Amino acid sequence: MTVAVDAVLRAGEFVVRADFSLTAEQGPIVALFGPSGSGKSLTLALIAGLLRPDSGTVHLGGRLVADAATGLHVRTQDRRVGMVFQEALLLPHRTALDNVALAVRAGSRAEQQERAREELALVGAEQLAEQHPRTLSGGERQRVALARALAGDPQLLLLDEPLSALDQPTRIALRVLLRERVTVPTLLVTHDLDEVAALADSVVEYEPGRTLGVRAAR
Amino acid sequence: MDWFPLLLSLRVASLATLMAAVLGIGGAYLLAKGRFPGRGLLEAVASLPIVLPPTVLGYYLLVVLGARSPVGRAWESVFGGPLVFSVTGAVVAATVSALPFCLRTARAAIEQVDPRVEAAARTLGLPEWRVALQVTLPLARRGVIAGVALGFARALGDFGATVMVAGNIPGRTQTMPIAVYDAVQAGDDARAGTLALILAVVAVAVLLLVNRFSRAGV
Repeated sequence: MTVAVDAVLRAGEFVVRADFSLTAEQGPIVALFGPSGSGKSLTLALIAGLLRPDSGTVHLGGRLVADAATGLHVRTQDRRVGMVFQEALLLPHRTALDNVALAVRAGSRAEQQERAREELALVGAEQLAEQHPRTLSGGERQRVALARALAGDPQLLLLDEPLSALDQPTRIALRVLLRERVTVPTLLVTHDLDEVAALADSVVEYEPGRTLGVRAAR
Repeated sequence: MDWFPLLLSLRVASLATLMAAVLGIGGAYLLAKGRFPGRGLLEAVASLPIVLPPTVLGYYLLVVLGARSPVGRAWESVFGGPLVFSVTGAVVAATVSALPFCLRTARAAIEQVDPRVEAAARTLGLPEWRVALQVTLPLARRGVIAGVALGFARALGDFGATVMVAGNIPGRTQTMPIAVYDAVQAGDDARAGTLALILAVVAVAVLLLVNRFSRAGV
């Protein structure tokens, strides 16, 4: 899916100017790379529709989804994005399976559970289905969060430093998983050069407060 | 021993708590999440029963619901009897008294819910009403339950507003707190003591329940 952002976003004192456009050929995984606090995560929230631009526009798949000039704002629910955050943000009162089933958009409850089981299996977490998030390790939670994000058949996957809170061995295992599992167009926020090298096909470079441009990762 | 006041009080307090819970939780959600003009005023009005003397609250209810008021006349033409000096009047008085306890406690709990978990739910495609019912309220449930329990205690214990609106008609609208007053006036110490003890036990039970649910953790 093509992604085109040309927008300014203010969050308190902080201002980020994001200006880049990406086509499917530059993926599937495009890293948003730069130092902490350069506005990468805000850009992702803007694309997800969790924040509105203060000026400018966002296009997803050729469709205008946000336009500050007219106030147009397509709701997050209608953007068909899947998102994984630095913390898994699973619903603590639901099992891993229920968390994933919640994201399945069609079918009866039984079909949703069946699909959720498949998604869990694809991330190597089928044995965690009946567990509650608090009993899972950080890496297990992120596996479930990835399964949940993919269960909604997103057209665009948004990964906001999903591996940065994990220890090194877990991080490497999940990198392998992401490389194998991710086929949908994906934006990955990271400040880790190893992660860029291991996962990304293209890179959107950031310096504090703005994007510099897009380059091939390899 | 005449158990009528106890049974009436339980009936009135249960109905009032149910209504106060629906209005209070809905209102709490609107106040916590909504941004609309008059929000501050709405909250202040809903909280008035906490600070107004109950008799003053009852007086205003009497003005609004009385036989000569538009509401009172409309009620009488539909139901064939006055709203005031009836059990329904007692339920309304207890509902209004209980409402701010349900609302304020639920609102505080709703505002404590991690907005990132709600954002994550939106990226899964859940419509707002499902975010509210399946994410926000379950995560706020301890505070919501505590508020409803406090509301029940308040509804059960109301004297001033109830006696103004529903009167003190033995065998018809005489609830427990009013019966205690009546018994003391009549010099029936045994009856006053028994009724007072029952109310005190219920109050302690509610506080224990509230403390249990107010403790941290989900």
